[in-house]
Amino acid sequence: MTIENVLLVSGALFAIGAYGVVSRRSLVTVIMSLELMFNGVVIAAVAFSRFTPAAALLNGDPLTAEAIRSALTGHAFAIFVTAVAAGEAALAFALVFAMYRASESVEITDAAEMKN
Amino acid sequence: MMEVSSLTTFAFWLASAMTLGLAVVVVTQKDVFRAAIALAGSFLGVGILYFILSAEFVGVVQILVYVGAISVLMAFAVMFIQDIASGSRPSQGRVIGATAAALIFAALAFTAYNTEWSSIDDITDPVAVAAMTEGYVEVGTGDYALISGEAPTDSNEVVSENRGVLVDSTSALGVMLIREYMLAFEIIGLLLVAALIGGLLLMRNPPSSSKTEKGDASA
Amino acid sequence: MVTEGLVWLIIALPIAAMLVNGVLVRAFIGSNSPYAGYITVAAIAGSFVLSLMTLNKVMSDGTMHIESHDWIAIGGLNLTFGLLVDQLTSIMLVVVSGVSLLVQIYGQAYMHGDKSYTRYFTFMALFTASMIGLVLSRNLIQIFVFWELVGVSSYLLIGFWMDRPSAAAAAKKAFLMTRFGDFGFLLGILYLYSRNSSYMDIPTLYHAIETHEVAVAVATWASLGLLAGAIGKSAQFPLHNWLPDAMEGPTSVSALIHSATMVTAGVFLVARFFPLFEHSDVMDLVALIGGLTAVFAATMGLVANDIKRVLAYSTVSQLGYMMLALGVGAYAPAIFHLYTHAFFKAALFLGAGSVHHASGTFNMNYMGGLKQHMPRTYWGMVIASLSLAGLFPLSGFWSKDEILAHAAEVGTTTGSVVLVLGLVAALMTAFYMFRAIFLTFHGEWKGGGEKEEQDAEEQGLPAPVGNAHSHFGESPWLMVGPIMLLAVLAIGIGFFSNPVIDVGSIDKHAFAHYVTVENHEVFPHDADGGHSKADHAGAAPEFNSIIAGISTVLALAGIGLAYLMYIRGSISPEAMGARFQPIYNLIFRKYYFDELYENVVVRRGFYKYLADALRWFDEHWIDNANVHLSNWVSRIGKSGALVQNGQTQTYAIGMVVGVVAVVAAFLLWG
Repeated sequence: MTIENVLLVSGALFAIGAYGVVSRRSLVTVIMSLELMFNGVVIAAVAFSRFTPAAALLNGDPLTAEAIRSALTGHAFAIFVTAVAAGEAALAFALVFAMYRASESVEITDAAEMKN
Repeated sequence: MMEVSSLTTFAFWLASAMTLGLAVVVVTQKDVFRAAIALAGSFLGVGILYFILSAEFVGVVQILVYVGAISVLMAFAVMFIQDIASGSRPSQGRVIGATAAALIFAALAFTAYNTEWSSIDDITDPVAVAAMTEGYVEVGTGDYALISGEAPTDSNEVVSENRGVLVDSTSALGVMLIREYMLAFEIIGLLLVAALIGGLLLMRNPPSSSKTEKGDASA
Repeated sequence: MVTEGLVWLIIALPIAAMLVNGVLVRAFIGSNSPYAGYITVAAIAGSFVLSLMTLNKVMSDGTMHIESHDWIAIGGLNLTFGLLVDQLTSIMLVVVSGVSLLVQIYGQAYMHGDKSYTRYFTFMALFTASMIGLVLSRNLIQIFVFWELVGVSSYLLIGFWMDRPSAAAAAKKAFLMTRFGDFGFLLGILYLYSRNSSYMDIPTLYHAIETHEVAVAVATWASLGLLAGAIGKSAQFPLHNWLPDAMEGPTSVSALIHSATMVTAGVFLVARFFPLFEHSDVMDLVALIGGLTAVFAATMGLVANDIKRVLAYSTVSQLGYMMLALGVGAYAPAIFHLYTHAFFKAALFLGAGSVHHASGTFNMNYMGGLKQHMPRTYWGMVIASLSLAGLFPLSGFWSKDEILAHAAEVGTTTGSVVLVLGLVAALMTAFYMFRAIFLTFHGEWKGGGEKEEQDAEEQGLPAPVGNAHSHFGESPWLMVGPIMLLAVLAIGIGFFSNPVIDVGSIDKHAFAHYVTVENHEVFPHDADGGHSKADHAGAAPEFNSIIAGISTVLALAGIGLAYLMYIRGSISPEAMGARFQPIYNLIFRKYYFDELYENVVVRRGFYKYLADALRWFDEHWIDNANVHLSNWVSRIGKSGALVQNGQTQTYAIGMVVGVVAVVAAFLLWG
């Protein structure tokens, strides 16, 4: 388990999510693929914080608690992204419901009013 | 380089396989409900990965939020909409999508393998090095950050394995959230309130008084 | 005593008069106010006095050396403007301002009662200012500016009676034809500028020619350009046919412009650039054009019926003499002839105006017997005509004679050819002038303006323009006075300014000596102090009795023939006309030059071939290019719009591809 391997996994998850966003017809599945992409990104962030020492220490700054704690920046990022993703998923589904209510269909191909 | 035991590596690859496999199921299954379940499984796999990566708190949060809340939300959505057998786009859309995805993956992999990642060996400060490699450091009174090293514990194997890694990430993370990331923390709270209100607004029944009188055939 | 400021005042006074007349008098007092006349006359009188003072100064102190002022200095373009007051300038100043003054005085009576009296004097002031500016200019560009101003003023004055279509057409014709010559002039200037921009300054050019810095080829091309301008402005062949038509303007305008000033601008130009012309190869061309024009115009004057047209052809012919003189190198005789011609031609034109006043018409076939009614005008015109014909001892004799003598002296083939042409023209000049005199003043009164109109009605022809009631009797003093003064000058000024022997305090050949030997810039002295160059240019011509004798005999023969035909009636003009019918028609129709220019050159050549071709090109290529370009842009836009198909996933792919591209760019070219 080296950092490259973890990044590979993260990248693969992101790519799979991208494929899903682009080629699924149902809006719900698209949103699911979107969540996969989020996860891929967060894995990368956490991997960085696991394998890379704190930036302050690398710079040669003296050893302080903040310096050591800065190794957890990736974790903080993960927390925030998770929170945002949760909120965004909720709103996305609200949109899906609204679209369903308006036009009885949740296919993305039907949402083409901005054509040309 | 950090030495990691082969058991950990094996566990890592297993969890990755689970995550990625279920992700593929999500994006290819025609049946949306099955896709939703696969998604929940994928999230679980990601949570396991976090534990392997020594990010315990994040892993717990992942399982709580993603598997516990978002997957359930998705299931509700799928059942509510009754959108069952809708698969993917016609084939040329799939090919283009696959190409795009492959390109992204290639770019990311290329970047990952060609970058010089810094490691513990790049630290120059001898105190820090000592702290990271050998000792347990208690820094300041009432304000601590534990680094594993020759810590007074009995799990030496774990110690040497996780050399240079913070063992008690939860408390450190908590402190960090309140200290360095205070602003972001509060804004996230605000964001969640906004999402809440926005969701409610989008979901409410349209006001019926003005529309019905005008005749809502065009609604 | 005479400083640079005073010289500027010579131009400034007429300009001020123009502005006052044009802006204040016209706007506040009216378009028919006598004050306009007073103001212009006063201003030009002031200019005249200052010109005399300048002449005095230059005569005593030599050329005035005045610095140039910077005008435009942008990048590589450095133009200056300034004054050049040498001997030639001083003479021209006196001539221009003097004749202008007399014409303005005359004009007060001639234009009395005209509804645009103020406008007349405004434009007259403008014209005088332009001409004075032209002769004072030190820089070629400045000359060109004033040259064009003179052209504009001429246009405004010829077309003075705007409501007559013939006047408007004549003014347009004059302007366009001279413009054509000006195009050549401009090319010459630009060529000279491109060789060396400091050649724009005339004294610098003189110096450069003297030190042989200027190549013969350069001088030739530049001279050709300048000659083109001179041909246009002085109505030489082939740009001559605007001048007869220009008689549509008031007679006093013709007196000023078409006798003494504007048409002499061309001769002045060649004289001013005499060193350049001498250094080039075009002198023979100048002489031949001059000689040819002299004869050519004289033939047309033989058969003209309108008295002003006779005078116009006479002017063209005499200008031909001046060009001829310059072409054979006779600088001093040419200037001398310009100077004497101004006086008697102005007298003749003013007299013609006076005749019109009395008889109501310009057509000589309807005049006659006016001698008893207007004796002063009669004698004035007779004297001026004798001077023009070149009879000893009047002014015209001396000046014309010197030209012919110099042509004989030069000895080249060109010289001999132009000598013969000059003598032939002299014979014809005498004839047509006295034909005019006899038809107008002798014989019986044939009805005048009223009869002419009646005849035109009977024959169904359009009524002649400009006819008025005839009232017999001498014209007012304001009109006759200038005529008489000019006639006196026509008698004596020739002999007394340039005598062949010492007369009292006037040295022999004072005038010629003055314009040549004393003009050091143009005729520099030799190394040993002699002045051979000036002598070549006619500083001290020997009196050639043979030529003088021949020309006098020819003049008398011309007068005699006219007498026989028109007074005695021994030879009938109609019979002669019938015998030489084809030649008569050719001449009467002015050699069909008007038709040539109008129909062949303009209509067929220009309109049909050039303009139509350009129109086709514009419609088919340029407009089409426009249309196709806009179609093409529109199509690009429409195809670009196809990208926006409204599908979110398409946009997502676009984003992905974009990101990948940026990452790849970074990775590969970091």
